[in-house]
Amino acid sequence: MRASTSSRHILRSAKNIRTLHTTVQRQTSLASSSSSSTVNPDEIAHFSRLSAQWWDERGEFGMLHKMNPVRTQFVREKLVEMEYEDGHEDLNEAKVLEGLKVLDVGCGGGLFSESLTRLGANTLGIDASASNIAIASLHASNDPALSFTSSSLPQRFGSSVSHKGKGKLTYEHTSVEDLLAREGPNSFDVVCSMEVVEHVDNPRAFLTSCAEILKPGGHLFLSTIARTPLAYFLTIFSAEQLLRFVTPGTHTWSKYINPSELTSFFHNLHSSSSLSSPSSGEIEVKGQTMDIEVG
Amino acid sequence: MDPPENYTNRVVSLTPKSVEFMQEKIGSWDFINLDRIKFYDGIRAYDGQDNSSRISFDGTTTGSGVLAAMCENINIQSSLISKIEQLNDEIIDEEEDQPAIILDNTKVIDIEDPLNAQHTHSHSDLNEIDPSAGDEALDWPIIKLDNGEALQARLLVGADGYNSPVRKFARIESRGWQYDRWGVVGTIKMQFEDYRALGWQRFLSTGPLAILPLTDDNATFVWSSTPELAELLLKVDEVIFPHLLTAAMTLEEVDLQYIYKTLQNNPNDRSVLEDISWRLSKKDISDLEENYPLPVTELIPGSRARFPLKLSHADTYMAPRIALVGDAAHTIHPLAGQGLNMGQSDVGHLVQALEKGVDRGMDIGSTLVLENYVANAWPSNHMILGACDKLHKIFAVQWTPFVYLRGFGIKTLNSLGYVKDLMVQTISGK
Ligand SMILES: Cc1cc2nc3c(=O)[nH]c(=O)nc-3n(C[C@H](O)[C@H](O)[C@H](O)COP(=O)(O)OP(=O)(O)OC[C@H]3O[C@@H](n4cnc5c(N)ncnc54)[C@H](O)[C@@H]3O)c2cc1C
Repeated sequence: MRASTSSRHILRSAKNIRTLHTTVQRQTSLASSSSSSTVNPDEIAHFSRLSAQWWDERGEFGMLHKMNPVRTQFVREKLVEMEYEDGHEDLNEAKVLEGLKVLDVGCGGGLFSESLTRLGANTLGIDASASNIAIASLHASNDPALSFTSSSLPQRFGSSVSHKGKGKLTYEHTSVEDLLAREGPNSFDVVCSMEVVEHVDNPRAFLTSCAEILKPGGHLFLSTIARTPLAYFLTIFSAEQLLRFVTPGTHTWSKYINPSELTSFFHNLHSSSSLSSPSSGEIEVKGQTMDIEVG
Repeated sequence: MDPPENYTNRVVSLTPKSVEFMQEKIGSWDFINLDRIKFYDGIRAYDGQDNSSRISFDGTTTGSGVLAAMCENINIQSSLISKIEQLNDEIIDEEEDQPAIILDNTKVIDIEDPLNAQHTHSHSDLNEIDPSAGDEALDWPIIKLDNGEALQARLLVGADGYNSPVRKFARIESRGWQYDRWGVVGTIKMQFEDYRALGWQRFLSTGPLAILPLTDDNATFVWSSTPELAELLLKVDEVIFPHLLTAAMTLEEVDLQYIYKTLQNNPNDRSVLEDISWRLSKKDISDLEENYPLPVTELIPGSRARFPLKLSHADTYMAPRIALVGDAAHTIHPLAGQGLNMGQSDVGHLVQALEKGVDRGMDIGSTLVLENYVANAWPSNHMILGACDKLHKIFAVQWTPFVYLRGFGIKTLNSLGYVKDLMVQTISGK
């Protein structure tokens, strides 16, 4: 089956992006941090089962497993491209992610976070679902090569393994908005949010937080599922288009975000920030659409 | 380490592709002992029951001018060890990674899947990891060694030969059959160094017999034979044996049967020497010089050995955290000298898949990484296995009408350039 085309956009954040005044809305109501010092064996067994399902390459999440290498490669290649553009001629391409502080927003079971960490990034994976964080943590703790620490799970899960790994991996049950409030802006070299933006209630606020937590000159990677089969595309898209026509301004962001919409969103963000700060930097949007073969 | 003075009997024909792989990709060719490598330009193959049915394979088809290189297994092995040592030195200098560890003279006695293993210890303390049992939460196979140690691996590569314990652990089915043939090998000396630098192969009804050149006047032979003949070949007096080889490359099969019979009665019966030279004297000298290998003059004492010949192919080369390469994945009839070369090509494909996985931050034990390997390696191996099997079967038939057809086929094949080129490309790996 030749299926969904996903497109990814990379944004070089403006130097002044943190000066934006945007309402930050929490995407989901979050339970307070789930960290508890005692997890009983039943719970461990429960999460082990979930984790096994999540990480089953041929199972329910098989599609995600197939997509993961593609998006990892994309991130790596784009970072390499950026580095060359910035004049770093003597770049070691294999190590382009090494030592970077990377935030994976909506990390799910941790597929992408683990990949980034293997490539040398110091990765923080966050997710609004406590269960996802448990699944991801359990899985990561089982790979000695990932120096893994968890701020939301007890020792057995979070035990940082002594093996020498390239990057550090941490998971936390939180939202990007809370993280921004706690860590402040300018905190990460790279922010990624893969196939998440179409699921959040207020994409504008969500993306604004993602942009703010990024360091100046940092990179934001977003991906969203675009609907390729023509009929499907037309149905969904025209409905949303229509909606936008009816209520201009309020529904710029549909649940089915299209690559060109993402691009224009960031252009808008750019122009509104220019208004508030005349000395704004450049925003450059690069996108790529790729086909993924699903066997 | 200096090589043994005489050539060892475990010798393989390396295709240009394998050599290139060792040069460009592995970098082990820098450490090969080139004094013990013989590049040769072509193979002259002919039918045991119709010597005029001939086919030649030449290196010109491969573009390099060289068809293949004869090389002792031990030469490859020591070059690989030297390369590993060199890489380890670099790793230690750069303090980047852990050096590779080689455990010599150590046998794998058991392989366990920690997730299915019966754990006897209690689960009272989940933070405690029992090192000898491995980490039971980790789905990495545990390899138990006869020195009492255990290893737990993200990816276990089974390069452990035909009886592969790794393949059995992974419950990967391997299908195939015994040929009821043995490959008798040995090291010999020819009358003098042959400037022709050719391999010779004769398709006898008992199986193909090949003489392949080594440096100077040295050569090696692989004689695929029925169980009875193989037994005889190992017993025949070391002085008679070289002449028997010459006879087997040259004389009519009926003559050979007669000679075998004499030797079966007494493997030391030197009267066959006279018989052989008399029969050879009836041959046309210029034909002998042009179309046959030089006479064999010496057998290196104690160099004869035999191996059972079989065909097998594993259904797949992977399972989660498992990859099979080489004879663990496939065993082939040695008539086209492909076994080790196929293993090299496996390793090439596996490395490619692993590199891709590493590039993308994947867990290299994942089947998503390994499936690229299988997809690239399995089909071409299957084709080569099938081709060699068919060749064996065609030539193992003695029925006369078929022999005529076969002769016709081989002549036609020789003139049908493109079919032949295809075969050479398979044989030389290009
Ligand atoms: C007569 C003959 C002639 C041949 N001629 C050619 C030729 O001209 N060209 C060519 O390309 N190929 C040739 N081959 C084939 C070639 O020799 C094999 O394909 C090749 O050796 C396979 O290599 P391998 O490493 O996969 O397996 P093997 O050589 O079988 O090595 C397997 C290794 O695994 C080890 N092992 C197994 N079990 C355990 C355990 N439990 N613990 C620890 N170690 C273990 C064994 O000790 C062995 O060292 C020939 C074969 C024969 C029989």
